[in-house]
Amino acid sequence: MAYLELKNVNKSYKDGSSGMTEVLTDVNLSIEEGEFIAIVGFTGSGKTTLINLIAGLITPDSGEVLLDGVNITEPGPDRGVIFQNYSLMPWLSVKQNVLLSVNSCFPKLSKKEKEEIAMKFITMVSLESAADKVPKELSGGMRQRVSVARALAMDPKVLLLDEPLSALDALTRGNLQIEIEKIWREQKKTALLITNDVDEGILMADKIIPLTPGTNATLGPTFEVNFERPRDKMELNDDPDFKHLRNQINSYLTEVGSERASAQGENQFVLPEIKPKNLNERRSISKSHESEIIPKKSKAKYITITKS
Amino acid sequence: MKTKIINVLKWIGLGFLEPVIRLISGDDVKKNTIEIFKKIVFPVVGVLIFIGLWSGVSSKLQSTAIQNKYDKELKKQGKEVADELLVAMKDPASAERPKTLPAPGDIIKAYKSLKSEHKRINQEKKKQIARKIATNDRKLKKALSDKAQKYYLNGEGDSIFYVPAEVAQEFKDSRSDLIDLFPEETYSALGLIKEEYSGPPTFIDQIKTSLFNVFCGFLLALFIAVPLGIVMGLSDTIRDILNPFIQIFKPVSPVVWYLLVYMIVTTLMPDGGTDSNTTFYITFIAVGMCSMWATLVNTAVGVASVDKDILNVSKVLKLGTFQHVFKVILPASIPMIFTGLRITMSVSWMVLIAIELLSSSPGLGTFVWEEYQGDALDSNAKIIFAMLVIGFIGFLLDRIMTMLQNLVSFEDDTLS
Repeated sequence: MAYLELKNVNKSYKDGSSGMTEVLTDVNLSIEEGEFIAIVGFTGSGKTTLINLIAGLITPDSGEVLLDGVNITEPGPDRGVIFQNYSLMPWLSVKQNVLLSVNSCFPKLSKKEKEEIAMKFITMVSLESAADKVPKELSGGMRQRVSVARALAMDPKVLLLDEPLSALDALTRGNLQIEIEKIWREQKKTALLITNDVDEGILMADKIIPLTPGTNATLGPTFEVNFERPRDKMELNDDPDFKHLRNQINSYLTEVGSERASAQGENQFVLPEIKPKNLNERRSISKSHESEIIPKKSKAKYITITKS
Repeated sequence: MKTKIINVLKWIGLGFLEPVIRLISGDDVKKNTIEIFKKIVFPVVGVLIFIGLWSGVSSKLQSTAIQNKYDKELKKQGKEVADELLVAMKDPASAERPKTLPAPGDIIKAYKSLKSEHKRINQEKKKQIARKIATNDRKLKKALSDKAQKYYLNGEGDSIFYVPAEVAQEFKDSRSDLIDLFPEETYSALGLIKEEYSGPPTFIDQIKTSLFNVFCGFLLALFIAVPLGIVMGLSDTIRDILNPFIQIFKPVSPVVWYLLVYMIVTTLMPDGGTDSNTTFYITFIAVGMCSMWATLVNTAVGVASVDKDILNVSKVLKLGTFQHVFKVILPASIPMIFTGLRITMSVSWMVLIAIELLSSSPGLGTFVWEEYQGDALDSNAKIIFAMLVIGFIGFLLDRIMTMLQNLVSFEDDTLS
């Protein structure tokens, strides 16, 4: 049996006007211990709902979420969550933020031992020089490092990363991808990464599972990522296997995306033919200034734009 | 160094001095001179214009009042008496001068008069207390020497107060704190008097009393509103239960609150409310009741709107209720709570004056009321002076609250 398992999970939300919207339909997922899984999907496809289910912040309408064979009904420190917008306590310093989780998970340790644990993880994310700063003095990347340290300090069985890097700039993002992957290798935790960046998934994960766009989102086929670790982004970029895999995943996502769009019915907008008026026409000084957007003798009366 | 001074100035609310500091330290002369004009010169000119207008209005009112009184007298008593009155009325020191809006100059005179009164009363205080101490000493020494260095005193019932010989000796040599050790019965049995000043308070005393009253009222509001607000913020049910009360009681006038508190407190006091402390209790409780609403509402909103992500973290960490409230909810809503407390402080100060006036509890409100009732020539000027002092203290209190608010705020620096 898999370490973390989702069996036929369904989740609906109450929709303001039209009753219930089913966000996740029949989601099945099994993750082995120590595996790094990335789930990629479009915005609004229910990725955060999925991670909240595993974190225990919400419960499924039907189906089961099992960790090590035990049904998950509430949040707990065995599942460390790294949130998209850091969620640090703004009034606590870096060290205090990490200590908060150490305190709640290891209340019996002495004060000194707790501080040692906190400092160990702060050092792991290379923030020892900023240990006494408060979040507002830190950059986005540094804040997310604190969040990583805090999640690790709970010594969780599973690490849940809810789009941890999507609020960061590209450079910081690249650095943190490498760092988090390195920490994961050292810590040997089971990890589930939610992301909308296929490259990020390939760089970090063992397997990539796409989530079809919501509503009624479900998981697609598993793509194995077999590149050797540690992975180098530069080398990967030139690797034909990498390109092939990326194209496979991307085309799958595009395919389900357009299926979804056409399945949702006539999402076609008809725009009228618009032609800028040529003010110089009468004087006919320069006819070449006429609009080139629409050929002069075009027979098409309408332009059709398909919403994807 | 320069930035440091400027930051400190801004922090204590003297940010308008920034261009002066910059000019002194040799920053851009033109820009800072313009800034000085904007931030200092123009406001000062504004104040001067205001004082000018005030003078004008006051002298106009004065002449109208004199004219009216003259016309009335003319009808009643004839020209001769009226002319005599007119001469008297034009003399500022005369008792006949009609009371109306005092001129700015009168306010300065009122200030000087209050200052000299303060000095006089302080001297009187010292004298009175010295007199009382001397009387007490005389009585005690006599009593102690009577019984061969040892003094037993039969109080009411069987209680005995015993002064050991060496303590009695010490008292003879130098006055120690012995007098404070005497219980109430000893005082009356020996015919001692309390070594306290009894007499009219000075203006400064009134300010101190008012500040103490407002402080007590503020603390009461804090201790009721913050816990209640937290409970309301945490539980929708309790919020729905309390909401009608808040909506109804929040807009109630301080006068009505005063009457309500009066009804309850006088009933509860053992002696039916004749104790001198009663007015104090009524005052500060009424102030607290009037001013707590802002903090209550702000705390409830602050607690209810704590960032959902932070709440999720608390859930993931499985913090207990106590930890959840004191380590997450309370610190997260501190900025909102302080915003509420700041409003509470200014409301307390505003209603305090009215409530003191009603309850005739000592303080600035009573000062204003007594001046209004009294027939001193400068009573109107003293009232206006008190008004300025009240405004200035209110401003200072607000500044202090803003400083505290900025101190606890963890959001990006926002000076209001």
